[in-house]
Amino acid sequence: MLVVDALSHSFQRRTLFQGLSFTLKPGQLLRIQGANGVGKTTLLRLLAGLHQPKNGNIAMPNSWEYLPAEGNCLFGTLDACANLRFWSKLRGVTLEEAEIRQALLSWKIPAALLDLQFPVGKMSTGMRRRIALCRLTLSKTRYWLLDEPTSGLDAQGQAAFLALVEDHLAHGGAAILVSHDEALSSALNPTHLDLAHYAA
Amino acid sequence: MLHKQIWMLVRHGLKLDWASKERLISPLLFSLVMLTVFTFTAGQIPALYAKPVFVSQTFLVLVFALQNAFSRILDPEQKDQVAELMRTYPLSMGAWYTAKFLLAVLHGIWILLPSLLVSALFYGEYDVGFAFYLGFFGILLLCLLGLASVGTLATAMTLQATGKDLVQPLLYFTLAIPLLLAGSQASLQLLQGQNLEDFHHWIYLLVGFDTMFLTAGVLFFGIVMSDSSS
Repeated sequence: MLVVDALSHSFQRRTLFQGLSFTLKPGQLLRIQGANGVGKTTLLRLLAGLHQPKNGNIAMPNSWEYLPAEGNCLFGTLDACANLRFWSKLRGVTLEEAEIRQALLSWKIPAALLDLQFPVGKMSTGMRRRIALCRLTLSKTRYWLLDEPTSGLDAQGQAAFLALVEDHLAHGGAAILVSHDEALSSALNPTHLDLAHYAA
Repeated sequence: MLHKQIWMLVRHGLKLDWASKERLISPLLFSLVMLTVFTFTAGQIPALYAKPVFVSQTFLVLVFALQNAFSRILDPEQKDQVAELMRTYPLSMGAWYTAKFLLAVLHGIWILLPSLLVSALFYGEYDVGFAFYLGFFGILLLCLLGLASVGTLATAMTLQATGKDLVQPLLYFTLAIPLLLAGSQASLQLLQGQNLEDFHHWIYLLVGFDTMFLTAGVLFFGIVMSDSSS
């Protein structure tokens, strides 16, 4: 279980939020809401350990994966399989080539590109996002921190993402979602957390 | 576990270098072109000065070529928020630094060997001697270890700095001064045919410097990277 207790954080002398507490249980999807600049991305970065909170405690489970909004965290000169192999090895898991390939194909990455070992840096924005989402699947982690996960995805990609999250939750996974896509968010029927309520 | 992570990151780094190639070729070409230009503009040098010129020229060119290579050692991780995600993974920061240090050393050897060979060709007529080249290579290798540890740390420290293109070389060259003084002094004394006992203090200084900065890198890389990425 993920537990946040009395969390406060400020950025350049401006308090973003204070006294923030919540828990995330297996099977739960929590959507963080709020206007631009309210601190949604900062909250996810705090949970991911990329920032240190000014006050409060965060208890993260052992198994989690973070997907940032602005980047896909891929090495542009390597192909999709090599990228995913790297991240799984870094997690200490060695995946079979066939498993990686199958996961990529399920995200509609064309087989021809995989056969050509096409560098991901030359792929479209949507394709790169699909590969980043594929990393989530292959991470086999229980908790996901998702920051605008569908940015750059087409309708087919968004539908695949919905199916992915539903399946993840059904199998006891949990996720925190930051997204301005109302249609997508409501389709997943999440619990809502409005950061504006915790603003100073 | 630690050695597995280091080995994995080194192999991955080599794969990235091979995929882009430019990071490997550019500093090497710089070194070879500079050596050629220096040699041809200097022309025929009196035998008395030829050997010291050979040592200083080789040092000068290598230090600049290595700076070029080391300043880009974290380029792949800097793009697309790769470094940030790496920090959220169960990765030892010491392993990350050690892997980058080893890659920097490999980059250095990749530049060092052809450059030394070309230098030897240019200075063949001055009868420098094979034994000297062997000793000189050893001294350069000790310098390389220090420069690689300093270069990797300086690049990490200045990753997000304003004007990092200015700050990184400033830090690198300043910290490299003791290495260059010790390396060039040891090389000159070796060239004069002196025994190792006569210049061992310079060698100790090189080893001490290498150990100090390698330890500092392993200990502080995590802190430096967290500040750089925040």
